[in-house]
Amino acid sequence: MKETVPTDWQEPHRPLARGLEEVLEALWTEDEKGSTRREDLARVVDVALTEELIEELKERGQVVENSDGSLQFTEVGRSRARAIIRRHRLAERLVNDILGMPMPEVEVNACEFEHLVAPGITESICTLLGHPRQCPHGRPIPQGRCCQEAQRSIEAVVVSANELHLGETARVAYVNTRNYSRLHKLSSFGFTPGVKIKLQQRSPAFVLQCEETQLAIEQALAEDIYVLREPRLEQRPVEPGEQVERLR
Amino acid sequence: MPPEAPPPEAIAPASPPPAAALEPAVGEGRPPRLSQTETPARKIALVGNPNVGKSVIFNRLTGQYVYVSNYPGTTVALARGIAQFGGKRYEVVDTPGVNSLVPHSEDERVTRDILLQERPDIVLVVADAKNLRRTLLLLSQLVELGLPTVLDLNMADESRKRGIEVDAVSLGGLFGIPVVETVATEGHGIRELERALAEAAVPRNPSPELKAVVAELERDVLSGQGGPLEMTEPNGSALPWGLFAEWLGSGDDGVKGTLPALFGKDRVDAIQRSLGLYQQRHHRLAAAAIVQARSQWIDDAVSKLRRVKVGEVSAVADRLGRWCREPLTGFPILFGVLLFMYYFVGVFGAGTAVDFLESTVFGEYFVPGITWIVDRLLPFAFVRDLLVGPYGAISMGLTYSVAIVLPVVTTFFMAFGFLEDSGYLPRLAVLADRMFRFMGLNGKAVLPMVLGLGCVTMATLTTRILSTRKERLLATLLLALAVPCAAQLGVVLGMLAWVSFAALLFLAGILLSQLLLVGWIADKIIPGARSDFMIELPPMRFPMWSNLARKTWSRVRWFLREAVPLFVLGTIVLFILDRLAILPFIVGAAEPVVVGLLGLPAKASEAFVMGFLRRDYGAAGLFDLARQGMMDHTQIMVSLVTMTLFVPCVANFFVMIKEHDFRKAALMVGFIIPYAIAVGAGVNFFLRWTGLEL
Repeated sequence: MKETVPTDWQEPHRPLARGLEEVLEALWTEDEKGSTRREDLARVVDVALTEELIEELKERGQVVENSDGSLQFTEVGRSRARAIIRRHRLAERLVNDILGMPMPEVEVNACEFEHLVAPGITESICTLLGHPRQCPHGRPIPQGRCCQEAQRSIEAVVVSANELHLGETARVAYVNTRNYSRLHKLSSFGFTPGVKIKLQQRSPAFVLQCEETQLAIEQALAEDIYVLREPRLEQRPVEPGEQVERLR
Repeated sequence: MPPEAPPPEAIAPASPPPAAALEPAVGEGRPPRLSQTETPARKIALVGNPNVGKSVIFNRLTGQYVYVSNYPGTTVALARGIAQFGGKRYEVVDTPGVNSLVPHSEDERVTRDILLQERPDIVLVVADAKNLRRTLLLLSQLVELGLPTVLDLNMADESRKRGIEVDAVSLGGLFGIPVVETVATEGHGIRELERALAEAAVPRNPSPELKAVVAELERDVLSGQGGPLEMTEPNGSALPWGLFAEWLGSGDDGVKGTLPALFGKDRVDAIQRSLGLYQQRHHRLAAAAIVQARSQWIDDAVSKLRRVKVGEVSAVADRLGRWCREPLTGFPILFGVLLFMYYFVGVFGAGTAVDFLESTVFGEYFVPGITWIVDRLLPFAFVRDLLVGPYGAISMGLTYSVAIVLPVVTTFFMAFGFLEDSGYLPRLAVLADRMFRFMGLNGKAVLPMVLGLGCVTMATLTTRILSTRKERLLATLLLALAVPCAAQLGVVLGMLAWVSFAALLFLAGILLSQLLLVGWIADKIIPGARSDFMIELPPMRFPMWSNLARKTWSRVRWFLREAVPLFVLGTIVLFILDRLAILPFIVGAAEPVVVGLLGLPAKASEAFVMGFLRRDYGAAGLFDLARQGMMDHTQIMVSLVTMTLFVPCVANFFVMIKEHDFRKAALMVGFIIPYAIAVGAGVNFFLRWTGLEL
């Protein structure tokens, strides 16, 4: 589903009751799949889909009911649902990528998370994760303001080390791996969050420099090291022809 | 920062940690035992990251009283020596380089076990002054062992040149240990180091966060279910709880296996349970908490202790290092290195040196001399034949091993040691990573493979540097199948010189394709996993001759000890087979295959049988046949292909059994022999059918 951020889009500040949010969330995911029939909605929503809930949503101007009984977002409702979905899917990314939890736990934790997080924090998390486009299930994450601003100035702030340009320097944000021994080996070479690393070579293997240590690793490992890019364009070495593309 | 950090109050123990147990025997910075002069030689263990100059420090401290031996049950060579200074004698151990006390390889495990088992009186931490972060990591683990420690910031000149300044005084104050700066290659600071060693002190744990985690673990164990277990070291210091969390958390079975032996199964189980408690309480591994607390503390300490100004970088070494690992320049350099090895090992070692030893020393003096003595002292035909006959233990076994193989192997080990110390080999591993990954290995496997070109048997022992069982098995198989050793290579090159350069390429092509093919298939069949490719690239340096000499000597000595007796034994077996007329019988039995399938002269069977005793023995037999004009070019090619792929020598077979088990070794040989014959037969039919002239 291709979606652009409305220019005046704001994350709604006052949360709705939890049940209402759940219904809006379910309506969004069903809408993505192309159906907004009441029966389908009732099947996926996490709370009992009572008439009262729907009435309340209608009263608050979040949804309207079509003649066939299916529900449809109002402008306000869509905007609110969008924020909930965004929080939920970012939370999934966070729990999955950084905490390294398996998928079932991701789901449970993300569900709690979405109701708790304040808008400012959502932006920070989004930035930390490098403005991801998809949740771990592969569904699109609605974009926020921060994503658009990021697109204008840079690509992602947090990227895998293998996405760095040759010769680029960045700070290690975290090492994302479920393999403890891998994490330990990397940290014993000094590759811990906070240190600056420089990409020296990409092929046949990746060569990373961290202070006085030069380490050669395979791509899969480089992908596990997430780094914070230096956010200014002119700090990066620009190869011929590249700058044009980036500015476009 | 990863958001998994629990709030600090979650880690802080309810009651203050029993500090006395954590910081044992600190006293006033000097353990009381030091004042006693009549104690036997105190033991100093050198510990540090790889490539920080430990060996040079070792040489500076010990002078000439050095002996090298393998650590029991391993192939890891350890140098021990006697040092004398300040009116005392010390035993000094040079441990293998480690990045952390949580071992990921056999080398690292040896270092850990020495510290745990031998409990040296002084730990001398040798550090690269430039690399404070890694030094702090190692130190922060060492504090848990409660051993008197001295820190040596070596390569202080390089550090200064690069504009890195470390506040050594504050660093020492932080841990409560003496810190000295040295430039070991030039001998600067060694006297100061010797003085500092007399003042070694048990370091304290400078990180409150780390202490908190450790204290919580300790409380769990001591308060615990374990019963009245002895939970302290014999000298009264606490067990290394934090290290236990890391050891048991690292999930490395091979490493875990040694802990119960060292500490007792009951203790390890009790600790394991307390780790489980910790995990339940904090929803994460204690090891993860430790790693995180440590890295935060290190960040903090580094920013306080180190100042970096703009410095100069050794541009030549850096550029050379880069050229060696980048494909565009790396492959031409590799070609140059191979050419250098060819001239040094092939032409000088196998040519000049062998000629001199074989024809002059052995041919004109040694063997005739021994023959003369044997004739006088033991004038019995049987004994005479056994010692100096055509299959004589001295005339054939000793001449062969000492006069022909030894110079080849020695020059190879010299060249290999040079490459090793220069920092070239890890860069070669970078270049080779892709190719080895195709065979279920990673770039690290290039080290045993290159060493295999010297001696396959030794290389098979070196496969231990590979991390998983599957990798070790794969590398062992490929070494046994497709890597010719230096002695064999010499003979093969000699024979190919009569054929053509194209023949050399043909043979190399076949070996390489078989290596890749068998590797690829074996990767699919053998269960298990490949480990990550991760290798440190040390700075390129010109090797120190003294180190190179020591290294080469330790390898040559190994060869003399392990291989020469096998040569002699093999010769005696041949002699007996010959005497009992079994040799002709075996040769006869092999004839249908050799003549029928491979299209070789019947006499070649003998070479193949001998080939099992020593690969190069067999090659030498073929060499003889070819020299007598008994084989045409096609037959030479077929015989060389078969012989090279054919079984490894007896020594290698024994090592295969030792490294894996008899069943696996037998399986591998059981595969290799028919496979070699099949490939040989394939080459035979291909060449005859196409009529290709090489």
